[in-house]
Amino acid sequence: MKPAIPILIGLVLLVGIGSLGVGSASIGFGDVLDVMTGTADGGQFAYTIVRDIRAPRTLLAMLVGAGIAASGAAIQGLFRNPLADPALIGVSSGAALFAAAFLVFGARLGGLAGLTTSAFVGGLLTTWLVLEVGRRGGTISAMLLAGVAVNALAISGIGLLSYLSTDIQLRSVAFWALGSLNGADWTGVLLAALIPFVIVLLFRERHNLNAITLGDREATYLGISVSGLRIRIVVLTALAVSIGVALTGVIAFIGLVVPHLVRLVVGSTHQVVIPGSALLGALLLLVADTLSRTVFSPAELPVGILTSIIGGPFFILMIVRQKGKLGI
Amino acid sequence: MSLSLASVTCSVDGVRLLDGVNLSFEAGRMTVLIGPNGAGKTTLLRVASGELAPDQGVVRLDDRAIDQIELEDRARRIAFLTQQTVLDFPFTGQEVMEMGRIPHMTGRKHDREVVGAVVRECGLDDLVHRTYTTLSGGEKQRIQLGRILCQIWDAQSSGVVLLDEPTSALDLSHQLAFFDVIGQIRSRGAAIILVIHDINLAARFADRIVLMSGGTITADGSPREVLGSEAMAAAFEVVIDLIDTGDVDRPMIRFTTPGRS
Repeated sequence: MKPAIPILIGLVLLVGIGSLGVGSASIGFGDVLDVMTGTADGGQFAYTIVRDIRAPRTLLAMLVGAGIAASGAAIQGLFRNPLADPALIGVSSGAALFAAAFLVFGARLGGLAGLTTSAFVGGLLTTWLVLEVGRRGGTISAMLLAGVAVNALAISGIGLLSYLSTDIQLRSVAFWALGSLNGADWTGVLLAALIPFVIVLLFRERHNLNAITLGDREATYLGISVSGLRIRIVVLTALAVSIGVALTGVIAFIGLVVPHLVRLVVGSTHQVVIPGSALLGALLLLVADTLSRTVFSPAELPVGILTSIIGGPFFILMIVRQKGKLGI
Repeated sequence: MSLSLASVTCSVDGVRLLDGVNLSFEAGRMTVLIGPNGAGKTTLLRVASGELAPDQGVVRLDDRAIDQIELEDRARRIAFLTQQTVLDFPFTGQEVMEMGRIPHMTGRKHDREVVGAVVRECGLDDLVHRTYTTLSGGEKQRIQLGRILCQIWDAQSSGVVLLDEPTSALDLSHQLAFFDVIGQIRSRGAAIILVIHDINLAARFADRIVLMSGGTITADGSPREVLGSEAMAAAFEVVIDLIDTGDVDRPMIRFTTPGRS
C-alpha cells in the first residue's frame, strides 16, 4: 500500500517533463532538456515554446488538478458522501458565476487578483449555502440535492450574464463554463502556487476528517469542534477551487473521480487520501490537458469537456455500483 | 470519578425529553437504563456526555461542570457508542478503531499498542483487516465497540463509557463476549452506563438498573428492586411476573398484555 505515494510522485514528474515535449510544434526531448538545464542552443523558438507556453501550462495543470482533487477528497469527508464533488455541488459554478460577473461588471477593479477574489467569494458563498440548506434538510442527501439546486442556479446565472455581455466578454464567460488551460502563463502559476499551502492545511485536518466520516455527533465525542472544522474545510476548499476556476474555468469530475480511485487503491484514511488525491489529481489533469491540446492539434479541445466525457460515465458507474447504498 | 446530573431538564425541538433528572454514576459500576421507547434514555446519555446542553440543571464530572471542560479533555474521559453509526467509506476495521485514539495522539507507537490490546481483548483479529463497509451489522457493532474501548483505554478508573443499545445487533455468543469485555473495563474502574431493551439481559449483568418513563426516573436500584416494582409494570404497560433464576438478586421477567394470561 505504502509505495503508492512515491510511485505517484515519480509519475507526476515523469509525465510533467514528458508533457513539455509534446504539442503542435515539434520540439525534441533533447531541446526540452537543454531549455530546462539552461543550456538551450536549440534556438529562440524552442526556448520560447517550452519556457513561456508549455512549462507554465504543465505546472498550472498539476497545481489546479491537485487542488481540485484534494478539495474533492476533503469535501467528500465533510459531507460524509463519496459522491460529493466541488463541481457537482455547485462550488465551481458558484465561483465561475462570480468570476463571470466580475468580468462583465467590474473588470476595471483590478485584473487577476480581483477575478480570483470574486471567484473565492462565489465559491465560499455557494459551499456555505449548500451546507446550510443541507443541515436544515437534516440529511446528507438533502445536502447533495441542495448542491444540485445551487449548481443549476449558478449555471443559469452564468447564462444570464452571457446574455447581458458584449461579444468580447461573451467569449470569456463561455470559457468559464467549459474549462481550459489555454490561457496559462507565469502570473497564473504564481497565483496557483498558493494551492500547495492549502493542501498542506487540508492535510493537517486528516484526523478530524476521518472522525467526521463517523458523523457529527461521533466527531464531537472524539473531542472535535465540528462547527470549527466545517468552517475551516469550507474556506480551504473554496479557496483551492476558486483559484482553479479563476485560472482555468470549471473542470468537473476530477474532484469526484480521483479521491475515489485513491480510496480503491490505498484505502480511506485521509492520511493517504489527501496527499494521494493531490498527486493523482495533478497527474490526471496533466494527462487530460496534454491530450486535449494534442489530439486535435493544432486545434484544441477545452479540457473541461474531456474530463466530463470521461468523468460522466464513471460517475454513472459509481452510482450503479453503490446499489442503493447512497441513502438518497 | 463520578458523573452526576442535578435537576436536569432538557428539550429538543420544543419537546421536553428530560424533566428534573437527578442521578449520579460511580466508578467501577455498570448502570443499565431501561424504559419504553421515547422515555428519554438516549437524551440522558447525550446530556451526560456533555454534547447536548440541558435547559436547566447541571452535569458534573468530578465536581467540574461538564461544559467547562475542553472538548478534547472530555473525549479522553468519556466515550460514547451511539445507536447506529453510519460509515460509507471503505476504511479497514483497524482504521476505524484507530479513530478512537484521535483525542489522545500520544504517539503512534503507544496508540498502536492500545489498538492491539483492544483487538486481543475483544477477539477482533478476524475483523480488523477487513473492509468496514463489507461487514455485517453485528461485526460493525463489534468494531465500533472496539473503537470506543481504544478511546478510554488509558482513562482507567477515571473513564466513563456510554453505550446506546450496544448489543442489539449481536448474536448470543457475542452478547456474552460483549459483557465479558465490559466487565473487564468496569473492574479497572470505569463507570459504564448503557441503554438496553432486553430486560433479562439487563437483569443478568447490571449492578444497578434505572427505569425511565416520560423523561423522569421512576425506579432506581438493584435488578430485583426495579424489576419487581410497580413502576416497571406501569412504564411498560404490561403484566410482569418475576421468574427465579437461582440468583435471588437477578430474576428474569415474563411479560404479558394486561387482561390476558
